[in-house]
Amino acid sequence: MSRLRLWLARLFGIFSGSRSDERLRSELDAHLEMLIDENVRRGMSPSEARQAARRSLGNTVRVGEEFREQRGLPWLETFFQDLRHGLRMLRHYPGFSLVAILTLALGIGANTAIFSVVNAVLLNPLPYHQADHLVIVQEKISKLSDQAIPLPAPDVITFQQQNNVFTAAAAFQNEDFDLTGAGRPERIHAARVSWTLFPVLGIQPLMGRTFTREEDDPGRQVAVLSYALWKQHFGGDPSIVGRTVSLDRKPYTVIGVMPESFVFPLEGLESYLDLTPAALWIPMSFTPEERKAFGDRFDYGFIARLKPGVMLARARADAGVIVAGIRRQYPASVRSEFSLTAAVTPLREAVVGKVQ
Amino acid sequence: MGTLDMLILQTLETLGSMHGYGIARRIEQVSGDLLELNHGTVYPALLRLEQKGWINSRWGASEKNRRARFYSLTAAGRRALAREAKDWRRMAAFIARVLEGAEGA
Repeated sequence: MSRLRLWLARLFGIFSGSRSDERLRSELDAHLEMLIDENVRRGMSPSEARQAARRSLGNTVRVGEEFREQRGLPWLETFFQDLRHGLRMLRHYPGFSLVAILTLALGIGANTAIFSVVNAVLLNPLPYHQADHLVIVQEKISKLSDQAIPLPAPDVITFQQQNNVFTAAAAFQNEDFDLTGAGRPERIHAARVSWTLFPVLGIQPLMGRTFTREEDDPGRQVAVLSYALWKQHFGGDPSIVGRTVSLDRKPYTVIGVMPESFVFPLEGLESYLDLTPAALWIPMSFTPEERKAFGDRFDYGFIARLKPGVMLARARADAGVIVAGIRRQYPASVRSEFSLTAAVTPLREAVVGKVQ
Repeated sequence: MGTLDMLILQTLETLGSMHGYGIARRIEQVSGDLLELNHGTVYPALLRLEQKGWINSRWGASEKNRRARFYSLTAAGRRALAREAKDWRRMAAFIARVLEGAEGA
């Protein structure tokens, strides 16, 4: 406690300067007088008394220095003195100062920019298994724009069936629902996903399981919850698996819960789709209308895992072949109007693309 | 706590309220004039003790009606002195025992 008091006193002591010097001087003067008086009482002459008194008192200059050092924080005060001196010098040489300041500004700016990119790209891991093997597939219609766009449902199926480079692939699409039937009614962001999504991303559920093929095709009303939804809406209910919830008043059975670190979709995965991370996932389960919508409703994101040893270039070539086949299915009249290409992007790049 | 600090605290406990000169002279006397103290050195020590909150000070009049700054112990200072004195005595007893042992051997 006294240590704290000491340091606080010394911190404030930096500012009490001249008053404190005054005080010390009067005390030393008084002290000297009293010494002289005593010496005179002892029988010394006035001049002898004064000399002896000075000797007893000691080196007052030194006392003053020690006193000032004790009073404040000498290293801090020295620092401020150097700082003031430095600022004076800067004022005297404005040209030099300007150059120095600009150099510092450029250096700091560049450093900060580089760090943000490195931070986003390298230091923040993606929450999936071996995320460097994951790619996004999109199409480009040259006439429309340079921007890569999501796939139509028939093309999703074509890519899944015809590719030679993916261990598995999955489509995804965001959809909002009214969640009722347990707890407060809530509007949530959900995602329709192929049953292969969780195997592609390679993350095991925290509880329960993820979709089977039948639950996607032909389809069943089941749902996998995100950790956040499970905790916040369902209070972390340990018996959540097997319960029924209502999405837009249709019953869905909860079959699993994902771990806390799992997030899907991530921002950046698809420029045209609304991509808030989903609170729960349901099977994609394409409707007959969706399956027929060729060259229409470019609505579905597509994420795939490269086979081991397959390089991006080969995946691009493979996708090129597939998309050429798709293009040939367009009516001849339309085909001549545009060129259709595939864009295969590593997941990390697609996500980082959001870093301005 | 330094030796000088402790001597000052002890002096103030005995004398009550005293100015710098009085404290310095008293320390000299008590040490049997063995300690030829440079009187000026009490002032940084007094400042330190005040910063720690163990003593406080105010202006007053000396015997010759001279303006002088008088110092006195605070409650915290009294406690600090008691703690220190206990440690010193324990140390002294220990050393005495060691020496006895050495002499006996």
